[in-house]
Amino acid sequence: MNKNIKRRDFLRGMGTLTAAGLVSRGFKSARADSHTAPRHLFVIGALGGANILDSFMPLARDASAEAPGITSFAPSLIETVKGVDLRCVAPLTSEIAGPPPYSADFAQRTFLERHGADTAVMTLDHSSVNHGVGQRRAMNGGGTFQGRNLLEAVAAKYGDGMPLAAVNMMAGEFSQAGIDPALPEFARQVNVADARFFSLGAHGSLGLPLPVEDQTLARARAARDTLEQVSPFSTSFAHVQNRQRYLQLRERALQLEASGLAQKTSLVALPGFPAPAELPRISELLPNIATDTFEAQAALAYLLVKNGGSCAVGISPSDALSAEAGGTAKEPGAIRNPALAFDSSHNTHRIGQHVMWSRILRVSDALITLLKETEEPGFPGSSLWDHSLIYVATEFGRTRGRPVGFTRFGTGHFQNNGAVMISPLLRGGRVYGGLDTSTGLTYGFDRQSGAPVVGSTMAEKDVFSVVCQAMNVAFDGRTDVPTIVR
Amino acid sequence: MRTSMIAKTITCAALMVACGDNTKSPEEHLDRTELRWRRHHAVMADLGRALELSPEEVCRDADGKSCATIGPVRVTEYLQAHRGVLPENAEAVCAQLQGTAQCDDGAYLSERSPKGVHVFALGGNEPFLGTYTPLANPGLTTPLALDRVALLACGERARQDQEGSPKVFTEIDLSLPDVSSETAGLKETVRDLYKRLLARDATDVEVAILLAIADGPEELSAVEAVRLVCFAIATTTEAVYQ
Repeated sequence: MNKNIKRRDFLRGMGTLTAAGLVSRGFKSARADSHTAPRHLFVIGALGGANILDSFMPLARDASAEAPGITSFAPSLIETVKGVDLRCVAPLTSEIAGPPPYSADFAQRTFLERHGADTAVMTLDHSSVNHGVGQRRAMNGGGTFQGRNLLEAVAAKYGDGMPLAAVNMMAGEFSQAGIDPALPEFARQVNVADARFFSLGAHGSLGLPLPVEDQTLARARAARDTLEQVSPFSTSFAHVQNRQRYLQLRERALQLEASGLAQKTSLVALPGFPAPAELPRISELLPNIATDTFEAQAALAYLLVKNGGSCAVGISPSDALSAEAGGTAKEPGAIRNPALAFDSSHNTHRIGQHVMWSRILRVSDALITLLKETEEPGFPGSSLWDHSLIYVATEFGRTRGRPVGFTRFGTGHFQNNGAVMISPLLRGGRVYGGLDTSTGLTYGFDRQSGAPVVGSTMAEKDVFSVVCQAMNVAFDGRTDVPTIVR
Repeated sequence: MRTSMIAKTITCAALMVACGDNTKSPEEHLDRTELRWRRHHAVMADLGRALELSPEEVCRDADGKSCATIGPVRVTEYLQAHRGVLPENAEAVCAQLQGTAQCDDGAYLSERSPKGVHVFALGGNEPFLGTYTPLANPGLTTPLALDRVALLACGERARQDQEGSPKVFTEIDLSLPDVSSETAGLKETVRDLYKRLLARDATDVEVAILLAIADGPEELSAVEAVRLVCFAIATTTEAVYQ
């Protein structure tokens, strides 16, 4: 290799080659096949019920006599990608044109072209059609691992010594912590509401209009610590548990401040906070981080993992209406996040699903690209992506019926669905399970062979188990699926 | 007679429930297993009252953004702050979303919506970001967010008192470039801050601990000293819990 070429440029070039399909995947030799290798988990909450039939398991209208009355697409709207045994929905350009106009500028096909080989779809039946319950179970596998959620489970294994091992920026009940009292303190998830201003909560004094010297502030904090030992309040409530926990939390918070993460994760211009060196590249891939909280979450997730701050991060779009800001080729006011996110399907199923899948996949693509371009510290020749997994979590699917001949219709909550996972740690490029074309219902597969089995179903704990298996996180009752994990 | 006794017993029992059990000693009253976290609205209100700052003045971080306030959020304000709409596009986007020729601007969600960059860390919910459930307990960023809020509020009071007629730091000459624990008025300031921030008298030990902040190796102006003393008191667990 030309020594004048920086490793970063080389990695970027490799990412481009991979995207173009010229090489199957970069850094195969260093694939995380060792149990001591690091792992990074990214959970993306597809809020509101992401229906697998509207992305990588679409049903063609001519697939069966019953298909026209089911959520199905004209055969011309179903696309395939060479070398990948997954299908997808073509851009529904005329349907999203409005009024009101919607923004769905990232094609599912593009995602499969770039990451299809790493994309595995696993059918499942959710256990609830209640948003909150479904979201919690998507995160904790129905409580299969002592009530830990996936972020906490991975953080407990890989997060010791990290200032923020598990970070949860997700909306709704995806944001809820697990309930395992035995979880180590360092693995407890830290919630972040607005990624754009995370830095402000990671440093107690940086960038204040009236600056304070570090040494001086340290003296004031030391005085505060002494007060905590001698004040009448401290004496009276010395053993109160939540006060004790707060004092420990304050010590850990000072470690977070000292870690310098605040200075490495500032996404928007904040006085006193330097812009991270990675920001120009991040902004190329995620151009709306200053105005779109979901893009900002993805950017922060990358920076947290890249800087060794976290090993498990959850992000999600919110359920609030979001429109394009203008200033780009996109039409100002075009809806990029419908109100209720995927749950907008109650009124406009196809548009809601299509726009939200585009949004989820576009941000996932950007995150994967960044991870591919970044070398894994301590593992020369491998990228962060080689050790990562993205799990698109959702609470349930959508009802299958629709009025024949209509493209604009509404759907309800439904248990039957499928989960999307993307990782070089998985044997991707295929669906695990199958689709009954006469009902639109998915069915499961044989765990040993991976072969579809009509009439069988997979559950939330199976998805939870596969993620943990890929992450090398062991727990009693894990239902391994050796055929999915490499 | 019997009826009267029963009535008296019921009355006494009701009073004990209503007013507390006076048979307990003060020590027994303090035998609590849990304290209540004082969240953003309590923190901001108390800081404002103690330091005689209006809700708008108490805390502005990151180039003037509110730290944590409660109030109405207008449609155009919401679009800019939470939905990434540029100010110049806000009216047009508002009108487009409403399906009207002109934006009918007004309260978007509620007259009492939490808003600010530290709301969530200080125990509030962020409905505009889909975070409907606030933290059950302080999170890892809570202590640092509180540090910033206290430094900003105390600093704002010190700045205003230095530049105008002092309201809170009246006992000390705020123009002094270097102070020590012996500086006239610093001790009185500490005692006054305890009354303002924690509603009690400081003990002599507490006063001594805080005065020592001014005796460090580097120079400390009067403004810096009162700000840091104020910060230290306002971020103790006594201020965080009740």
